[in-house]
Amino acid sequence: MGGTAVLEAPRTIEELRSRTAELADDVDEQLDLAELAFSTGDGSGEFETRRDQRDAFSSQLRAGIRSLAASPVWRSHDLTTELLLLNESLRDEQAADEDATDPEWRVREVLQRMAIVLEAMGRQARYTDLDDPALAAHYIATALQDIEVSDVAALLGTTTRMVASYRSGEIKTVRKNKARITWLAHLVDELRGSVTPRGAVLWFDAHFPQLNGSTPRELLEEDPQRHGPRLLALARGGRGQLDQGGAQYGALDESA
Amino acid sequence: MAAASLTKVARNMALWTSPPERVEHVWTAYRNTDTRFRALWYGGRALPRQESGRWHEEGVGVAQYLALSSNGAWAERCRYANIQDDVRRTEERRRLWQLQVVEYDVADLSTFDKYVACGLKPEWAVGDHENTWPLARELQAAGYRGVLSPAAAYDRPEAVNLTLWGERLENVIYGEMPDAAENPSPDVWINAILIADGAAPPEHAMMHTSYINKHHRQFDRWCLANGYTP
Repeated sequence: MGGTAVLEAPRTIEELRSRTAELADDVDEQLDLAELAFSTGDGSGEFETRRDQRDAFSSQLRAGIRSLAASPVWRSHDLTTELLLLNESLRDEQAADEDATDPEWRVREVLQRMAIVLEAMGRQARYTDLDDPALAAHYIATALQDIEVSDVAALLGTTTRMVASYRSGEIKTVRKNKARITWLAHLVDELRGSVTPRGAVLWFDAHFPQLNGSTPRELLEEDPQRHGPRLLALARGGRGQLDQGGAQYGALDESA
Repeated sequence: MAAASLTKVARNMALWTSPPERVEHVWTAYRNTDTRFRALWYGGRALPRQESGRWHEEGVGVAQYLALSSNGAWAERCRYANIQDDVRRTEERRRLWQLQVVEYDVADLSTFDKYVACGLKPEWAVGDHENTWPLARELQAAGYRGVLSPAAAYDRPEAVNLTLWGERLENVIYGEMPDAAENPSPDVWINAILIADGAAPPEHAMMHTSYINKHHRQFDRWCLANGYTP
């Protein structure tokens, strides 16, 4: 058996995201193979073949995780620690699975947990993007592309002309309403998994008992920095998967 | 009696006068989710941050909130998102999962009568979440893995929710739901079929949702029938 390949740590944020996404795809592919083998009763051939395939995958996975953990951006993040611990668990379970058939799904369990952590890492990278007001404004303007531009402008607290500029991406620096725009971007991003763009706009004007009868728009206009976390928790209700919410939780230090 | 002895006695007194029955079963349950996320909650060691619910507190583990009917799952969404009209309802795009839950040591508090039979307050099933947390802690301390309780959101007779404490992982099935006996680790894995993707709650579910801070009609009727005052 050869040694673990060594990958260079990602040098740019784009490389980091790409490496995270690749790892997530690799793990998902391995999970699909495990599911297929189980559902068809196909033990995937001879033991040596199964073991070799498993070992090759594990070596590749380990190299990928090490390269992420070595990156300045992820090095001290809790999700990275989680991933490293899971990789150790994977080694333990594979060692215990002597014929590489995983009859109790223990290897599969660890792989699925890894997939969840990698998905969370991908999301965290996106959240870090949305903390940039210019990117946030562009995101909102394009995500709500099909909404009346005056409605988008009202949500952003700006003019219809600015919305057009945000959409084109020509705005590189936002001078006004930065907090409102970044919180709005996080909220729209959160809502898009549950409602249409029109549904997202309607959400901002809905009265919620969780907000003591206020609407999200009212609270955003009052004090986005103060009410943002609460609104994000409301938008996220019903899901979780390791994200705490908002930029201040688990944000990536891209200056590292 | 000395103060220390009183404390010891109080600590040993459970909330119930008789413990809820422990049941084991294979349940068909439902859950609605965001279209981009998995069916079930994985707390992880690092950051368990599921928002508090009726049967758990944020930061203290996670819980799987399941309904025993598809309309029950949709009503949970309507209640949480305060969807009370077709304008917002038809803009919803959610997933609905069908789950095969193989469990044991589940506390059977599936009716208001069963709460009373155990010496528990039936209003905890449909009231403020914080009021149920002490019961949730005690049930878990007593080794219960989950609880059956009247649905607070789906306001129909015999609507029941099943809540499981702790992490679970979904095994996504693309064909027929397999035999429950084929699941090698049902304490971890739950078979899940995605039965609707990008869907809106049915009108029926919305029309039979009990919203936050509003009356729960089934509970009100039970109180009237039993002469009970919360």
